[in-house]
Amino acid sequence: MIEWVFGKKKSFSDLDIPTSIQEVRRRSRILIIDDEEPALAADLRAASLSVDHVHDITKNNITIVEQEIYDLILLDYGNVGRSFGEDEGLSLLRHIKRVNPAVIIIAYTSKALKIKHSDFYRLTDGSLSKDAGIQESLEKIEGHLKKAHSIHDIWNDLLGRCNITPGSKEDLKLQDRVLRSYSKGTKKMKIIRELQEFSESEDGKKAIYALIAKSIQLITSSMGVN
Amino acid sequence: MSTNPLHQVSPLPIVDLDHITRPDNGVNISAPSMCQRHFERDNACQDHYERLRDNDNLHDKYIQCPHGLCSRYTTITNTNSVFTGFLLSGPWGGKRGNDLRKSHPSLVITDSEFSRYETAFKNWHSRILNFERNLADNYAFALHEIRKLNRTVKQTAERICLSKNGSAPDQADPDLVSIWKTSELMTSQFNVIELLANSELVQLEAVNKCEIYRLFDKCVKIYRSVNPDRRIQLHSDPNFYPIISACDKTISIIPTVLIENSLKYSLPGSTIDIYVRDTYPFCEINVSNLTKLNNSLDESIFKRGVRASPDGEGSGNGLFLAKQVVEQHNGSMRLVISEKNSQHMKCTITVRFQIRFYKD
Repeated sequence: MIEWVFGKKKSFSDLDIPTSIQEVRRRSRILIIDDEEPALAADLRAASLSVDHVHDITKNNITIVEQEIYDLILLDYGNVGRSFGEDEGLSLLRHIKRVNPAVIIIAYTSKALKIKHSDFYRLTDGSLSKDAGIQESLEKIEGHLKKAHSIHDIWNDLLGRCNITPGSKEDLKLQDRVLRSYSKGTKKMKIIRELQEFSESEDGKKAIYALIAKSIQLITSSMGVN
Repeated sequence: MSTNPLHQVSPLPIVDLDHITRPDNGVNISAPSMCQRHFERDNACQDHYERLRDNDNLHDKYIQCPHGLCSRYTTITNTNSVFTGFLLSGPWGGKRGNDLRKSHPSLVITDSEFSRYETAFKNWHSRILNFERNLADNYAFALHEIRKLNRTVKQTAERICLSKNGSAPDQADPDLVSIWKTSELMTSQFNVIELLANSELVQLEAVNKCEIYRLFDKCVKIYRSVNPDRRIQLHSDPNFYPIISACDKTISIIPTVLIENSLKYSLPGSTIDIYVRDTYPFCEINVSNLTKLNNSLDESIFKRGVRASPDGEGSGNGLFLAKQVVEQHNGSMRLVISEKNSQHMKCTITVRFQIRFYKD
């Protein structure tokens, strides 16, 4: 703390981000998007995970996947996301990845998709067959949740979008600024606006916002502020 | 004979240029006997077909074969073929053409007849393909429904086992564990069937991570549980936990097929040994079993429809599919025969993958 006050640059390596699976479970929120609520939802809840289920995402409830509410989404392919395009779950996946890249999305289907829909597996962060056993599913989901709580993964994604080289002076300066201002609304917004300049598209700006918001969320919780 | 079954309905004699053989008979015109004679006698026919395949400038012309008959290139749903063994009416093919037209009048067609035959054949072909696609879709739908039922059985059994013995569900009531593991086995078999129905799955990219030892360990546990009288041993180099890039949809087919085959063909009472070895930058998996002496066993068992043993069960598709999945993962697969004596031999299938990284 004394070093911070006297001007040593802060970086994410100073943070105490918990890695115990109990802590990850406690902090995580999962959304299942599936036209039928799978029995797995109850198994995940029984394992102390916070799980919500929606039958579909439409323009009316899109904000729940655009905001940084969930750490991980289990996304079915069939009978969901039709309001985003004819590729059902894949159309919805494309939208979420565009505006909220910080969220981990798992392809959750046991259907054998055609090769033209193989992006559903490629664009997601992993896949989980609905056939998978309970322990296998839980293990896979927890593995991804750990990643969702890795500030380094999220930060590197953000740097990539802002053309900043990880480990560069610019990166370290930005880390310092974010760590000094994470609880100060005006300064925080200034940083967000600056970084959003790196993207010309509205979706790109949303993505940058989502990544910073997620980073700040992780910083806040590591400081024990939440 | 061509390996393409759709060639059976070609109106004219036809050759698959990707797998050149003597011409198949056409429905309207049979391949003349001279085609068979000449094809077997020398390489002139083979060279002629290869020239037609490789030279784009010849694709829209009638070309005379070395024995005076007519050939014309065609594409049928992206495969290279050639109609051949017929004769074109009119002043085509010079004196040799005239002589053949006189001696073989049943082979003569006009240019417009050729066009009609070709169009009809292409239409036929696309109709059959559509039919097959619809069939595959229905098949996939049915399989999906059966998977759902199996999932209910599997997850319910696992849930009960977990509630009885949370720390070691595999050690819960043996009957329940047996139900659970049998439905796990069914899931593995469904994956194989699904690939048979939808071969496009091997075109999916290997973008997921797979711990290869755990993949085999899981499969071994399933087979041990449903075959308690068989010995299956899994070994690994010490502290070797390689992770490879994998396609979640297909990777489990490899251990399923290899272990299933070993069980099917191993001698009663013998052990099936599986080794996971560090051959940096690769990991190698050897699946070995003792089997009855079979001098004709070779790498052709990786071809479609070839059975490891003529009196064995099975469709002859398992190893073919497993090899396709291995290749999807940029790996290699080979067969090694050793410890041969008058009674039996040791059969090892080796699969090799590039290691992505090691687990800590």
